[in-house]
Amino acid sequence: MITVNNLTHIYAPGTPLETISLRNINLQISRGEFVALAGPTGSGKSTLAQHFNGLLLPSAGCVLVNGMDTRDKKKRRELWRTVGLVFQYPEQQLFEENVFAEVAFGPRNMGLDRREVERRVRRALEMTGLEYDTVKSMSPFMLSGGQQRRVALAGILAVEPPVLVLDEPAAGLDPAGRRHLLEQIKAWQLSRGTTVILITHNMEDAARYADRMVVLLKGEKWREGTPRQIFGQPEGLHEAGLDLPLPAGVMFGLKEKGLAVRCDTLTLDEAEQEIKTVLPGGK
Amino acid sequence: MIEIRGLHFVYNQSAAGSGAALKDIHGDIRRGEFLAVIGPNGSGKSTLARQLNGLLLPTAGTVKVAGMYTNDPARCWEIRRRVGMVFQNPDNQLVAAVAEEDVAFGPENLGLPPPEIRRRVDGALRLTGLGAQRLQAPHLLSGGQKQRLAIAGVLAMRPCCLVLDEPTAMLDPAGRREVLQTLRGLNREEGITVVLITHFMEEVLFAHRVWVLSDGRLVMEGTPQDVFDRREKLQAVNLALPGAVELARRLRNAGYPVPANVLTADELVEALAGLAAGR
Repeated sequence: MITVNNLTHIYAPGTPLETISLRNINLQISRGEFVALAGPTGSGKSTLAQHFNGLLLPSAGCVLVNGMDTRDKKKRRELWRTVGLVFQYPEQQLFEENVFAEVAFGPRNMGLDRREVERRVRRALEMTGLEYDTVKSMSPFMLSGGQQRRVALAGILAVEPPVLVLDEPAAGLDPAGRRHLLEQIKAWQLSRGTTVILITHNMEDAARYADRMVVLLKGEKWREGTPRQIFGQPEGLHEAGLDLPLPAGVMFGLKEKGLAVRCDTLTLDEAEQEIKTVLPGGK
Repeated sequence: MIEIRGLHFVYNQSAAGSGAALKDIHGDIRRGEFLAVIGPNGSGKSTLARQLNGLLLPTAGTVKVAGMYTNDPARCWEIRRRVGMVFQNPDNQLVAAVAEEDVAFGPENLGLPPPEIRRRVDGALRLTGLGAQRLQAPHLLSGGQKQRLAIAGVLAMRPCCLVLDEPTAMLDPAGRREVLQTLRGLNREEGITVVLITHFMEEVLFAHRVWVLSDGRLVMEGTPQDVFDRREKLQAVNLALPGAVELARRLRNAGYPVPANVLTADELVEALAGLAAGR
């Protein structure tokens, strides 16, 4: 689906501000895969994400989406339809006078009929945990910060692109909203075969939802593997600015205390079971 | 420090259908305390924050800061100097091209003499651990550093209270740790009152006291332990326990004697290691 070949990206080349923000990245993402892109601030995650729909172009190497080279100007429109990108602070892009019009903007531009537009707007708003009938006529600017973020996100979801690139979509959402949104995106991936690339600082989310993780550090690909592989070998993660998800962190702490436990527990359920194997007593 | 009495607030009263964002809030924020405020999106957290330094004024009821009512226009600037605000997006709060000039912006606007400005800037950068970055451009700082710089800019105004509206929402784990350590240090060593609005239940653990907002009302308050003990009530407002507290609870329910005061992952590891060793 997406192939990244020896991608290097240099900001402001030839100026005193020249910065290499991505160096020699190679990456394959299959159709229908859920990939979490992790790494500290400044590691190049957002820069990489913006290459997936051609907002940024490689300084060297190339990015292919569905066989389309992102540098091919003739394919630009098709590329934008294929890859939906949600930025950080998406609420800064709100502009319509009511929530319905805001979310309907993309589907309307695609030339869909009225009923299909309405169906998509309803579904997208509900995915983000907003009640369609409550919010559809409200001005987006009357909503709280977290609610605005949900509306902006719904605007991209309503386009229903085959590839969704989400840059910290759940930051600033309350825990229930965060969970609901990611569950919905996961369900979408599984039922429709949507390819999802989730940029996140939240390792619990990565552990729970991603099929595979790619960790960037200083513009280079540092580690790659399933969440179990990444968190099962936690050495160096802390130095890379990442946390272990709590269930893995507790087990790693116990291991360091000399207990024979496995550390690749990703959920509280798994951690609970594993702890019970080493504790005496219990019901 | 801050007394809130019968606070009621409606945005844009003329617009039809707009309900109250805050309803009958009563409460005191004590000098020197670390108060965490949690609640779902749209529960009124940010609105409450903006009431604490008069960015918004009560529709009914009062907010009193160090003896001054926020709806007294003559006291507006004095209240804002004493209660400093930090928001979610650090990029929106930084104004200058050099870190220390950004911190100097507030004191310069007070018309202070240059040596005093210098003293304040140096002090604020030291308290936020940014001494080495003083001459850097803010946009080249990491997320955590930017947010600490925003805090430094507020500190240079010598506030007695800091109100932070989800300051860590956009930061990576290392940045979150930096900002929280900075806040704890300011609270413990400098005696600055901290009001931290957050969605991260783990950050609540640092607080002396917690307020839970739901639908514009203050529905729970107490120490973190008190609040976590009322799990059903938390769930009713869609909030879950922090992971370590939840795991400890499950193990207790399964018959393991994990102490009830376990709040953090480290405490849980200690408790479990003790149990495994038969202590």
